[in-house]
This record gives sequence, structure tokens and C-alpha cells, in this order.
Amino acid sequence: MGLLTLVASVYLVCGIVLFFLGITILSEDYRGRLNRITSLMLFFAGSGPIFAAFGTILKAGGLASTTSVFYTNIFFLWELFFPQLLLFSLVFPVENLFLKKHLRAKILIFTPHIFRLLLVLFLYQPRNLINLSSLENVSGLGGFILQPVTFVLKFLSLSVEVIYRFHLQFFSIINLTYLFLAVLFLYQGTRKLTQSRLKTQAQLVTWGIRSAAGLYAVAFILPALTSLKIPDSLRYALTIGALLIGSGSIAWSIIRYRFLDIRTLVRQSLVYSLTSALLLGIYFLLITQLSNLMQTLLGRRVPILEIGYLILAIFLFQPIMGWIDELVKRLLLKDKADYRIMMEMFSRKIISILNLDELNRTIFEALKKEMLVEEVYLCLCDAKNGRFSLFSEDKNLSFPEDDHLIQELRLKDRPFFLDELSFEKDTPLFKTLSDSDVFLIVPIYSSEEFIGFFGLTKKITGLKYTYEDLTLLKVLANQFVVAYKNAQLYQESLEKQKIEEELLVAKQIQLGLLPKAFPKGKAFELSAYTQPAHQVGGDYYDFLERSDGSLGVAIADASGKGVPAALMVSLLHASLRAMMKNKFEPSETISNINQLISSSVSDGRFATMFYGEFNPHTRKLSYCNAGHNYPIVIRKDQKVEFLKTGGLILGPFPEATYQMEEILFESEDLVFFYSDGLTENFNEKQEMFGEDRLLELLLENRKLSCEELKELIVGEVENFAHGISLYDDFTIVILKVL
Amino acid sequence: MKLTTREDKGIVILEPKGKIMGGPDATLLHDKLHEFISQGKKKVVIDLAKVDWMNSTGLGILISGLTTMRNNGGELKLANVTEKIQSLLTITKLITVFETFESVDQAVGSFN
Repeated sequence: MGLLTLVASVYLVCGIVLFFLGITILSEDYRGRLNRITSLMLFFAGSGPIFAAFGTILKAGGLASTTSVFYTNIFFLWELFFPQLLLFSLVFPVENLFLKKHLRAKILIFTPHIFRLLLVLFLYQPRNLINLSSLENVSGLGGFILQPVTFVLKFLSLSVEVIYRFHLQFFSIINLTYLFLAVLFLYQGTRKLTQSRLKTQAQLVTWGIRSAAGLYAVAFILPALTSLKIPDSLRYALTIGALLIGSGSIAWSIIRYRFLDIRTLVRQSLVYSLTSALLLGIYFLLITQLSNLMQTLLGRRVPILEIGYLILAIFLFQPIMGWIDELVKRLLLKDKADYRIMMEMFSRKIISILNLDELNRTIFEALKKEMLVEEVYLCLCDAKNGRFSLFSEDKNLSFPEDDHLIQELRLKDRPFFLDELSFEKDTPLFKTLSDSDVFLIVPIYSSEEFIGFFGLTKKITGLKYTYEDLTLLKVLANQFVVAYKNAQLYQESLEKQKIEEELLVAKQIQLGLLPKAFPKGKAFELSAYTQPAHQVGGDYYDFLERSDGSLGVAIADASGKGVPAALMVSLLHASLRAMMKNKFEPSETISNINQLISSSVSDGRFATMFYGEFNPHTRKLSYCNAGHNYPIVIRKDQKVEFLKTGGLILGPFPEATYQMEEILFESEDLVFFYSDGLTENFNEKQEMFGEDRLLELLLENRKLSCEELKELIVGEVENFAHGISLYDDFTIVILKVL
Repeated sequence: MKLTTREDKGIVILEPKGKIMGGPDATLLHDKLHEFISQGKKKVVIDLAKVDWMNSTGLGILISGLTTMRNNGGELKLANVTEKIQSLLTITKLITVFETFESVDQAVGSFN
């Protein structure tokens, strides 16, 4: 096999590769403008090496001199590649607005090359077409009229001849200008891009074209402008190299970024076989070269060596093909396998995300980067208030809460296109979505419950959503829901934990409000107990030592339970303590507290409060009861009295007035203060502890010390409830007169 | 708490049933009263015959119902107050604020 034939084969393979790339891109979607332009460009690019191959074969066969100029010059057809490239640079990655408006500009781009082709194919010898001398010979009037025509024709034919003589140099410069412009436009287009993936691809194309331009310049411009002589074979090689790099980069990026979601098997095998063919060519070339080399060195043919080369070739061929196969799969072609990879990647990623914002970011990123969706909107229902919110990665959109479209969406259980909707097309949400170019809606369901949707705009590639896309989106939405629910639960548990911690602090604060040490006196004995049903409670008691030596006793119960009640307790505590600076009567103290409370609470919140002052010297208790459970007085002689005098509960009625009463105590008299949480304790049989039971206990045990009596009552209540948790806070204060 | 309403001689009669405990009960009664106020119906009787239990929050609901009506120039009266609630009203001295009647008819009649 001759070297020239081998070179021709390599050219041919290059040409066929480019041709097939063109066909592949065209067959993907022949209506796509970018596809048409790219494949035509690849056809032109492919025709270059193919013509070169034929030229080489002819030369090898010694037929070059005998073939006509037409067949030699048809070679220049490939140079239509340059205007086509320029056109490509004007529609990729973003279509040039000028070109969109002025379609005729396209023709202008092609004019020089078409003219040149006509020139080299038909007009290279204008004199053959028109016999000018016959025109010159016309005499008389005809001659007079024809004279300027003859002159013009003469001028034209002369200029055509001049152009023809220098067309190689001339078009080298034109082609280079086209290349330069193409690179410029591509560069500009790339700069405007924001999508990183597209940008990388556009950069790859720009890089490829630049390298191609460099090689082409070395092959044609350098020899044309300098006296440097470059052998034809090298020039062809350089040109074909340039074509391969330039077109290859374009084909690569077009395939890589457009062919994400169609059947790849065909393409894969095509590219695979083409690369195999190329590789095979290279192997043969190498083997022939090596054989020739060995033959020259050894002076004769050694058949055993050739067999050795063959084994070596097979030995090397397999792993390299395997490697190419991998590379092709990994870099060039992405398809169904991609979906599996994406799903796997996505579920792996989101399973560990417990932050809602991060989760949203991840799904946005997955849809934008992997599915090449231009913009993604997410609409989600807030579990707490049932309201839907619509947002994208960087903005929030609003729509009325009762939008009918949401009701309509609830009925959809699969992804659908917005324009499929037959009604609800005039709602604000529909308008917001269509204004944001949302195209596809993917409903999100959490165990049959509609919780929102993804709104996707068209793909960056302009391609349609395929059936596989919709299936994938459905799966992604399901995966998203699982992660979303997990994240939500986690967030809630965090919040709960935080509240628990805060409540613990509140509990400490509330415990701090209780008297730390009980006042001691010769004439009385005190004990107290309080237990909130929750972390913090609405019960409150206090002992205050007055300046006149008397003892202030307060017990209060804020309505409700938990934090709101605890806040009221703080208010009561602060108000009561503030009153102690003045020498108010208990009724005045209560009245003042009522006014303070009234101005700060609303919505039927209130507190009951008993406040009394016991003078140990006179043994007199003056008190005012603002709607609190009547404290029970057990006299030494077992007589029972209730401390009822006072007025309305504190809070709702600022104008309420309060009465006061004074009662005299004797030694061994006992006053039992409590909150209703004590008597309203329930047992298993739904019976209430009740006042009667309490009275009975008090009467029976009136002789115990304050502390003992307290322990006894608390024990009785606990026995009664028998493990049933406290429904309400309960508090006991016992004052015994000694 | 379940709440049914009826009208008698232009007077709204609310009939809560069960326990008045606060939480959703509060908003339920509040919303109902505001509904009547907006309809110009400002005379309300709450029939407590079927209320077997009321805690402090429940009492708060009645109080805010009363103040709501009074602030809007209306009146709220209680009828069929059970013994337990009666004693609760007595202890809290709310008996001095609420007008209570032994029967709904008496309460309705008292508006004339």
C-alpha cells in the first residue's frame, strides 16, 4: 500500500467523520435552525478532506495532469465552510438580532465565495465564453453601439483574469477575515452568556475555531505573504487539521449540549465506529511506515515482523478502543444513563439535607444544571398556615391566596403544560406564571395531598420536554417531597427544642419570683407549695414583710395556662411589689393592681388574686379578695369561715371597686389559701378532688404544723390523682397563728 | 364545645354544649358574636344549660363576649346557669357583672 493511498484514506476518514457529524446533527432535528446551519457547515468542512483525498488518489494514479480544471477546482467548494462558519457564529449561542431581522444579510455573507466558485469552475477563461474579437469586428452603427459594451466586457474579462490569477491569495485573506469575524462574534456571544454550562461550551467552540484559524493561517497566509514554500502535502494536512479541530469543537459542543435527551444508541455506535475507522487507519499507516523502515534498515522484508506488528496492533488496539469507548460515553454522549445518574445523584444529595433553603437550592441547581431548564419556580404550601408561596432561586412572586388555579392544579396528578389548561386562564397566578415564561407544571404530592408544584420554563437548548423528562420530573418531585418533609420535621423539632430551652429559662425566672425565704415571726407559721402543670404556670404566691412589721400574703391565679399565664404572673408580681412602697390598704393595693393589669391585658384574660396583711401584734388580718377561691379559715373550735370580701377579678373591668375586711385571729387558727388547681384535680373515675374533701382533711389535721399539713395535702392530692398528670397549676399557702 | 344558635323575638340565643375550655372555643364564640353585631343583632342570650364545665379560660370567653357586646352597644345575658357555674360566677364576683336568669324565656323577656 502506497503512502499516498494511506494519506488519502486518512483524508477520507476525516471527511466522512465530519460528514457523519453533520448528518447526525441534522437528523436530530432538521427543523432546528442551529442544527441546519451546523450540519451544512460540517458538510462543507467534510468536503474539504474528501476532495483532498480524491486529489491525492488522482495524483497517486498519475492522473492529475489529465483531469480537467473543473475537477481540480471543484475542490474549492469546501471553502463555503467559511461563510457557513460565520453564519454559525451569528446564531450560536444566541441568535444575532440583526440577522434575525435581515435575513438577506445571509446571502451577502455567501456572495464572495459563490462568485469565486463560479469563477474557478466556469469563468477562469472568459475569453472562451465570449469571442470578443468577433464583437470588435462589427463595423458601422452596430460597431459604434457595441464599442462601449466591448470595452466593458474587455475590462470585466481582464479583471476576472486578474482575480483568477490571485484568487488563492485573495481568498486566503477573505477566509481569514471570516474566521476572525466568526471568532469575534462567538466571543461576544459567549460574554453575554450567564449559564455556566453553555458558557463552557461556547468557549470550547471559540477555542476550536481559533486553533483552526491558526493552522489555516500557517498553511495559506504565511506562504502567500512570505516567500516561505510549504509542500502541498503539509498544507493539506494543516488544513485538514484545522478543519477537524474547528468543526470538531463545534460538533462536539453541539452534540454535548443539544443531545442530552434523545436516543443515543445510534449516535454512540456511529461515533464509535468512526473513531475505530480513524484508529485503524492510523494503525495501518504506522505499521506500513514501520515495515518500510525495517525493510530499509534490514534490506529485505521480514514476514515474521509483520505478523509481530499485527499482534502488537491487536494488543494495543483493544485497550485503546475500550478507552475511547469510555471517553465517548463519558464526555460526548449523555442520555438515559444520565437520568439514572441524575436521580441517583439527586437522592444521594438531598437525603442528608435538613435545611429547607438548602434543599430548595439543590433542586433548583439540579433542574437548571442537569436538565438545562432556563428558570425554575417552586410553589409550596406552608404547613402552618396553609398558604402557598411562589418563588424562584432569586425572587419571590405573590398571588392571591384564593386563586382558582390552585384548585384546578389540585386535580392534576401528572406533569402538564400550562397551555393545556382549558380554563382558569384569567387568574392572577396564571398570569404571573405565563409572564414568567413558565411552560411546564409538575405537581408535588405528599401522600395524596397536593402541597405545591414546580413551574419550569423552556429548556436552554430550546428542545422540547420528552416523555423521559416528564417521568424524571415526576420522580424528582417525589424525592423532593420526602426530603422536604424530613427537613420540615427536623426544623420543627429544632424549633420545639428551642422553645423547650427557652421555657426552661422561663421556669428558672418564674421560680425566682417566688419568695426565697419565708418570713418568720413569733406569732405565725407559714408553709407554701406550688406546682405548675406545664413548664411555667399561672399560679403565684408571695410573702412580703411590711415596714410596720405586718406580713403581706398574696396568692393569685392567672387565667389560662403556660406562657401567657406566666407572663401575667410576672405582671402581678411586679405590680404587687411596686405597691409595697406605699402604705396602701389591701383594697387599694388590689384596686391599683387591677388598673395596671387592665391597661396591659385584653381578650378576656384575667387573674384572681387574694391579698391580705396580717399584723402579728394585733393578730388582725385585713384582706381583699379579687375573685379568688375563698381562702378557708379553720378556727381552733373547728368553725369554718371563708374570706370572701373584695371585688371582681383583675383585668377586664378597670372601673371595678374593691372592699376590704378585717378579721381577728386567735392562737391555733389556721388559714388555708389555695388555687382551684387543687380542688379541680381529677382521678381515674373523672371525679373531682373537690372542696368537701379538702375541708374534711383540713378539719381532721388542723393540729399539724404548717409544713406537715402542706405535705399531707400534697400527698393526698397525688394519691387521688394517682399518676394522672396535673390538669391545672396548683398552689397551697398555709398560715397558722401561733 | 358545640355551638348552636337560634333567634327568638329578634334576640339571638346561643346554646353552647359541653365544656367551655378556650382555644378554638374562644374564636368560635368571638366570630359568632361579631357576625351578629355586623347584622345589627345586638341582644344575645347565652343558654348555659348544657355546659357542664367551664375553666378560667372559658370564663374569659364569656367576659370578652360581654365586653364585645357592650362595646358595640349591645348586651349579653346568661340563662340556665348551672350550680357549678353559678358558684364560679359568685367567687369571681362576676355575678355582679353578668345578668343571669333562670330560664331563656326570662332572659329574652328581660330585654323588653
